[in-house]
This record gives sequence, C-alpha cells and structure tokens, in this order.
Amino acid sequence: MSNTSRSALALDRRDLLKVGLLGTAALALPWQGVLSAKSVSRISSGRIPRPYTVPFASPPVLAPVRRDATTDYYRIEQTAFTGQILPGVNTPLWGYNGSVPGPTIKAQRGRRTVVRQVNKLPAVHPTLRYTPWTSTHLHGMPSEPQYDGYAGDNSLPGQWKDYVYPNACEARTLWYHDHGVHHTAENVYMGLAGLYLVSDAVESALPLPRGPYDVPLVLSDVAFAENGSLLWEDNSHSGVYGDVNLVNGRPWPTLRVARRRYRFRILNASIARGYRLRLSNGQPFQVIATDGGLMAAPQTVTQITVGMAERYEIVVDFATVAAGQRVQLVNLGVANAPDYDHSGKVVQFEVTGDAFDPSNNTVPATLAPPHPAMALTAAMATTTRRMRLERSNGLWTINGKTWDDVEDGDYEPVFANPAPGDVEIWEVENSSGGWFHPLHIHLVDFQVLSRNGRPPRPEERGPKDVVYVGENETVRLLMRFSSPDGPHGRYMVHCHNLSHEDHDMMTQFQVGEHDADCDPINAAPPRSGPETPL
Amino acid sequence: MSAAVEQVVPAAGVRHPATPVRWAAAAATAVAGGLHVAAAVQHLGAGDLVVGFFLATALAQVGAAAWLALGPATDRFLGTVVLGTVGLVVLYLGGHTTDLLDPFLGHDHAAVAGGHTGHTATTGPVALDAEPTEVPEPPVLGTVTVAVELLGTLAAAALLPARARRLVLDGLLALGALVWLLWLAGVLG
Repeated sequence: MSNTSRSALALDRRDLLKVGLLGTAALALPWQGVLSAKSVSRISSGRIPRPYTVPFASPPVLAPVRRDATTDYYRIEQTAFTGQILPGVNTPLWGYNGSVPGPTIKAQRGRRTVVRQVNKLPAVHPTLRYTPWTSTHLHGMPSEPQYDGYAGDNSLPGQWKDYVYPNACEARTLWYHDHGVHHTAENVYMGLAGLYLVSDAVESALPLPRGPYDVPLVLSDVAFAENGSLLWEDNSHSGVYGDVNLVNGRPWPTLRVARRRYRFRILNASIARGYRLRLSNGQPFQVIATDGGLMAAPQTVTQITVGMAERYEIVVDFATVAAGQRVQLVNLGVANAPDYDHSGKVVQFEVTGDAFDPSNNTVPATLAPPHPAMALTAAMATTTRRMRLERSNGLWTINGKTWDDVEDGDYEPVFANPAPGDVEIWEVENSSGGWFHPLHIHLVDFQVLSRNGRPPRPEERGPKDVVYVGENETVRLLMRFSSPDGPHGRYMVHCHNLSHEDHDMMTQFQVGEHDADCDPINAAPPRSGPETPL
Repeated sequence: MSAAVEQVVPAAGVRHPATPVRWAAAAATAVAGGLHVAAAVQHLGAGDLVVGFFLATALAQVGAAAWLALGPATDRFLGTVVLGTVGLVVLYLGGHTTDLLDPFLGHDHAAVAGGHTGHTATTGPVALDAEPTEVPEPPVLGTVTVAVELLGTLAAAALLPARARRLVLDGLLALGALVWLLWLAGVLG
C-alpha cells in the first residue's frame, strides 16, 4: 500500500463533505434547545401581555374574623380555583382564600395571632397525582416548632389546624407559604404564598412612607401551557423557571407613582429564580430593612441581589424624576437562572404629577437600635459549625445528608443542638459553580459575618433568615438560638430553591430539649371533622 | 449504520509510519480524552455511573492516543478508533436530542407520589396537558469535544487503506443522512 493512498491528501473535498453531514448534526443539533430557549410558555405569545401594559395591584388585606384582648383570629381556606393571571386567560390555581398571592395579614408586635388554615384542596393533585398535604410556615416568625410548618406536620385535604404566632419579633416583612414535605415547590408554584407584616412602635415612629406609599412587591416567575394552565418543569429537580415575571400575581405590571418617596417591600417568592434588581435609570435607592426587620442605618445602593425567600425593603425617591417619565425595576439576572425574552423586566413605575401626601417622606440616618442579631460579635460564639451544600449522586444534600435521612431516623437526627441562648457561627460552603443556594434557617435571625472572607454586600448588613450562598462561595453566619424562656425544640434548615428543598436539601437543628410540648408533629396536630369556633 | 462502519476494519498487522496525520490523530484523541475528564467533573452531580463513563472514556482515549503516537498502529486498531469515536459522537447526539439517556442522568419519569417520602418527579410540565420542556445548558464542552473527535476521526480515517477509508466515509455519510432524517421526522430534537 503506497504512502499516497494513506496520506491526508487522499481526503478530498467529497470526503470532507461526507463527514460534514454527521459533523454538522453533532455540532448543531444539541444547541437547538438552547437557542430556542428564549421562552418556555407554550401558550400563544399573543395571549401574554406586553410587559408593562397590565395595571399594578397589591394583594388584599385579610380582616380578622375575631379579636379579643390579646389575639387576632384569622381563617384561611386553601382551595383550588380558576383565576386570571394573563388577562382573559383562565388558569387553574391553588390559593389562600382564592387569592394569588394570598391575602396579607397585618400584625402588631406583642399582639398574638391565631391563623386557622383549612386544607380544602382536592384529594389528589389533578395532574401530578400526589396527595396535597400542606404545612404552613410563617417565614420569619420565631414560632414554636408545632406552629412552624414543620415538614411532617402535614394537614391532609379536609383537615384544619390553628397556627399560633406570638408576634414577639421586631417589625418586619414576613410571608406565609406552604411547607408540605416534598411538595412545597408544586404547592407554592400553584399559588400558596402570601405576605404577613409585623409592625411595632419603633417602626411606627419613623417618618418612612406608609399607607399607599408602602407597597409590596411579591416577585415570582411562571410559565403557561397552551390552554393557560401553569406549566411545571423542575429540570431534574434543579429548579422551576418561568418566562413570565409576576409582581403580586400580575405580569410585568405598571404602577403609577407620585413624585415622592415610596417604600417597597420586596419578596422573592420564586421557586428557583434569583434576581439582581436595579432601576432602569441607574438611580440609587436606600435599603432600610432585611428579612429580620429594620437596619440600624439605611444602605444606599444601585442594585441588590435577591435570592428566593429573601426580603428587602427599599425606599425609592421619585421626586427627581419628571412627571410623565417611566422608570423600570429591571432584573440584571444572576448566574444559573436561565433568562428568557422578558426575564429582565419586573415592574414599571409611571411617574405622575398627581398631588400627594408630603408627610412621612423621609429616610432617617438612624432607623432603629441595632437588632439583637446585629449586636452579636464573633467573639461571643461558643461553637463554629460547617455546612456543605452539594449535589451528590443526583441528590441535593447538606453535609451529605437529606431530609429522608431525618425521616428514616424518626425525626431524631439533628445537625446541631445548641442550648437556648447559645451563640454560634455557621460556615456555609457551596463549592459548586453550577448552582446557588439561598439557605434558610428557621427560628433565628442571623448576621452575615462575611462572604468569601470579605464583608457582606451592603444590602445584607441587616438581620437575615435567608442567605444567598452563591456559586463557589462560603458565607459565615452569626446567630443566637432563642433564649432560656424562648421557643425550643426542632427546627428546619434548608435551601429555599424549593425544588432543592423537596429533593431533599433539608435538615434540622434542635434548640435545647425536645419534649412533648414542642413536638412539631404531635404537640398540635391538624384536626379532622367540623371546625370548632375560632 | 454501525454495520457499514464495521466493514472497514482491515486486516490486522499493517503498521503505519509516523506522519503528521498520525500525530494529528493521536493529538486529537488525547485532547478528546482530556475534555472527557472535564466532562466528568462537570457531571459530578449526575451520579457515579455517568462520572465513571466519562472517566473510562477519557482513559480509553488517552490510551488510544498513546498507542497512535508510539505504538504499532495497525489498520485494525485505526478502525477500532474510528468506530469507537463515532460511537461516542452518536451517544452524545442521542443524549442531547432525545431523553433516552435521562435515566442515567438522574431524570426520573414517575409523575406520582410514592413511598414514605412522597416525592414527585416529572419530566414535563404539569397542572394541565402540555409537552415537556427543557431549560438546557449550553453544550459548549460537548461541542468542542465532538469537534475534536471529528478531527481525530478524519485523521484516523485518512490513515486507512483507500478502500477501507471509502467504506468508512460512506458509512459516516449514511449515518449523517440518517441523523438529519430522524431530526426532520421529529425523532431527534
């Protein structure tokens, strides 16, 4: 055989074309899914409104069914209903009292609330075929374990439970949402989430915007099927990402604002999408509160990163914007949250020349005495614990363990067992570059000591109960666990990417003793049969 | 498809002299092996089977590269390299255009609650009827790897005797045509 017949020169143009047919297929076809991934929804694009064409609305405020000297009583039904997120398009939803988001509960520090949650959901999810048990978590409230929405304290359809909230915390923006074990993501995606606001004397004394100038912004993202139903795809438990951004359940709405300051209470209620928010005109704004309430002093920033379940309260001054101008709150996006055509749009503010109430239009340089969590110092910590967030063999784990391990251990295994009043440092590591984890620690407010050895972001310099643990990041958290006369028992800690939480990145810690009075499953179990009077 | 490729394996024992083309085949195969190590790292979360596959592939490619560069690369060996590499390309295509490999990547199919955990796992959208949708990651590493493997395949094919080479390339042509037909038919997508 001659060398010529074996040389590369023997490969002529035709030969290259022969290989090219397979080559182009192998190189091009795997990309088509990526290149066509600018939208997820299957519904006709004509039925999705253009961004900023839908008027803004806030969730309704829930009135108590009864009040007495110490307590306000509320009743909420969890129901399946058909609503309209897209104008003119019927969408099957699950909601609290038939509202998505659910109605807002307003509470006063020191005055107790009892919220009866009645599970009137169908016996079986119509499509996923699971039993929709629910467990309502009031996120941000230091509740007793049996009222904390423990995974395992599940109310089946037809059952009801009275949740008792002491409201012994500082003024803050909380939210209540479903925490039913292994189905939290589906249930919240269907609509089981709402705001709960606690105010106190410190906050009320401040000249911050209030009334119509104190506005909730509950962010979420969804996708729609051809027939208008919500489209669910959790991408092998990595997360659910929609191509329609909602604010208070409305797609990319427009809010008319006067030329004054507004307080916006931002909650990221998305299943898996993080947001990096800024104003379209680059205007700075002030962060005045975080998950656990008011910061000691406002932080002036031009953007904030908001992971799932994080709350930030910001004040935006529209006085410098001319009437008739429009300013958008836009999403610059975060790593590992796929962006679609309109993922960068959130809400529009249309500045008007309308008359406005000029009172309570100030952000003081000092907002509140340092929150107890922010008054802690690292030197006060008696223990440092390390927590690895990782995916292992297809499972989302914390230090290699899952919530199934807790279940298999009859709910006995705990990650930590601090005594009431103990101060600890938790060092949380996410060594992956492929995903981020907003870690939520129940019961406590904590201080973010550092992020990758550096000071936390300006917006994080307030009390927190969720921390954004980004790709290849390590954050150090400082916290005190209750007090000798405060709540004790078992509480969950988990990733607030709800798909990660469900599959199964969740564990628990125990403050002090676990006894029958604080057993999260048996101390105050849901009840069946006719309801007793509230 | 594979039958057409298999026919090209020539008689064993023909040793190929060191030439730039042979070195190119060795280099491309070695680089592909290195890229499969990177793929193993990228798929750490997908389970031991997947990671093991990538590492085994990497090991085989690095070994083949060494043999191409230093050993007595026979026609039979070249044919094996071509066949194996084309097989990898086909596997990659199948993995990215169908859900056949999803079970190995941790994609579950049961849309029901089950066991004491009550997990729900789906591969498609729910609430009401709709087709599954994916939010895929850009297959940058895969694209680079396939490009390198195609170069290696070309180089290895060029070293084959003329008849065998023609059979190989005709087989690849048929395979490419079939892939595009399957794509047009909606089987791949």
